[in-house]
Amino acid sequence: MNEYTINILSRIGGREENQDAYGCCETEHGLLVVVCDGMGGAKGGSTASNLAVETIMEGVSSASPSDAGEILLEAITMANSVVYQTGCDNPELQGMGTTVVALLISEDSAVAAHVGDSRIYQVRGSKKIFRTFDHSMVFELVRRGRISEEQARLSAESNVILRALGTKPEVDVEINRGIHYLKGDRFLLCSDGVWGAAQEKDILQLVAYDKSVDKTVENIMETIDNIGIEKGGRHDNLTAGLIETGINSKIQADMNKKSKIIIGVLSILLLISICLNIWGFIFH
Amino acid sequence: MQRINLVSNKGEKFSYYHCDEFRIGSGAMGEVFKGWYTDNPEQKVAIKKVYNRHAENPQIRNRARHEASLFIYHPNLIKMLGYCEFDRSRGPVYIISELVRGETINKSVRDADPAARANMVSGMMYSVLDALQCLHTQNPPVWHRDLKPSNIMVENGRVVKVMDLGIATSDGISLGTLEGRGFGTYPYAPPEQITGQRSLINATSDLYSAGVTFYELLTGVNPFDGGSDVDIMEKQITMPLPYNRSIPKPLFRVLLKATAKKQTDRYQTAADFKAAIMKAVNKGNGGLSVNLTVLYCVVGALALLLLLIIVLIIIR
Repeated sequence: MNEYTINILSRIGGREENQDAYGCCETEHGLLVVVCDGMGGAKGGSTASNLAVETIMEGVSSASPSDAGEILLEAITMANSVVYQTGCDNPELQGMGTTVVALLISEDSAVAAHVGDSRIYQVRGSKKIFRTFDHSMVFELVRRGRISEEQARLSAESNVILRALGTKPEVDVEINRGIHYLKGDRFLLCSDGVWGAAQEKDILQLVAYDKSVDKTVENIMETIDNIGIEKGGRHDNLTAGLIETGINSKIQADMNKKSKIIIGVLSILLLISICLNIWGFIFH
Repeated sequence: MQRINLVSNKGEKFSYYHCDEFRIGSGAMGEVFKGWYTDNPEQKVAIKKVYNRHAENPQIRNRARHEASLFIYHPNLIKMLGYCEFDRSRGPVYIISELVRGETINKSVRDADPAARANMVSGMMYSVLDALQCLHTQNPPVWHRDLKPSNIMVENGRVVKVMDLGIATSDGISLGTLEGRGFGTYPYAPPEQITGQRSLINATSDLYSAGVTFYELLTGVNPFDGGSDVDIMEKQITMPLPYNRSIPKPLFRVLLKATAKKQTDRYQTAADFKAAIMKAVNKGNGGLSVNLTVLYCVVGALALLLLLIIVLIIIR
């Protein structure tokens, strides 16, 4: 699909195993990109994340035409059952789970789905247009207006998530439908090993690093990995997927309230001006 | 029943049975077993085994070594005896300490007579604050970071011992993603710990936790507990210590200062906190305040003067 340019990279960071997993495929419902960050000891984390990516890709690829949000929801729910059941059937994998972030992007619009604290950013230039909101304890405090996002990022509890895939028989998936985009917008899918390493403004700068998507992703990996190495080299696995759109989505943004007010006021001024002109023309 | 034999970093030999019968406790980072010196089975010790899932984390291994190397001798601090690991980078990690025979401080004061409770708890808190003062004045200073009733033991109903010097907290350790609960003991955690300002953790952070612990021992309830973890964290950031009428007012004012949200508003040293408690307890025990003493003197003098006038009138 040449409407989209994509590259995904993952590194182990300072850990003994890479528990992040990712996948990407073209489906009849659009381009699907998935990033998962596994959790659980032994082989649990990587098994959960790989199994989830595989199941979600299969689920979306084989789904009948329907609402894109529903397709993603069903695939992720299925992945939850598969990971949970595998954990139950294998004592050494018990309790394994994973975060998931998935983007299904078509000519109409994009749909984002997530569970846990892996993220999707939509960036225009270096400006954030959209971002998923982590299902984590500290982000609940951000939502309540008690701490800043930066405090949340730095908190000792920032690794504690409130939702995960595969740890329980059921999963609560958050779906964001109808995300419209413009040509040149970039979507970043990443694990917390990426966004947790730097301030958000720096992450946005990294997304806008170069015209080439490949070079940009390579630079994200290099920069974030180096931050981890400088801090002692025990840093988390890091995965980043970058998609650049080559078209405008068919669905475009509804005009926002502010724009409507400005246009309304300008229209009234224009109308008054025309009336005054007509009055002047007739009576003078 | 599997007998485990250990040799500590100081070359001493210890043994224990890894089974429920010998397990005396468990926490976020590991389980504690009753053990003994292999050459002297009568001399018992406590052996903490870090959970396998954490033992692979080099930061936790370092933290365990650090905890076990804190050879600080103070009557109110648990005495560390050493640590053991079969391999420097993998496999189990054990921390060996003296065995404290007693009960946790909250159990110890639970049945205390309400009238005598404030005095009894204050007495125990003096020991806790002495232990903190000792830790905080080390070079470099040691911050406990996880002070709570379950980390304070009372032996024979009177000797207080502060335990878990630093490994129980996850602060500064990357544990990877976890679901549900973190390691923080949120009902006792100061705001700066919740908001992740690690560089701000200092003596006042431990004093905040000591203040909350003191409140709980006096009232039987934790002031910030209740609701979800997020609710508790929110209360730690925003909610001042709620008044409880079972705490004498002078003492409550001291606790309010110890648990101020702003670190600079708190007592700056454990010694200051202790001195403030002593003063407040003396007031509560009927010791007269300066103002009250002056008032009594003035009233007494006026009464004497009045009596003198009456006597003079009668004489005339």
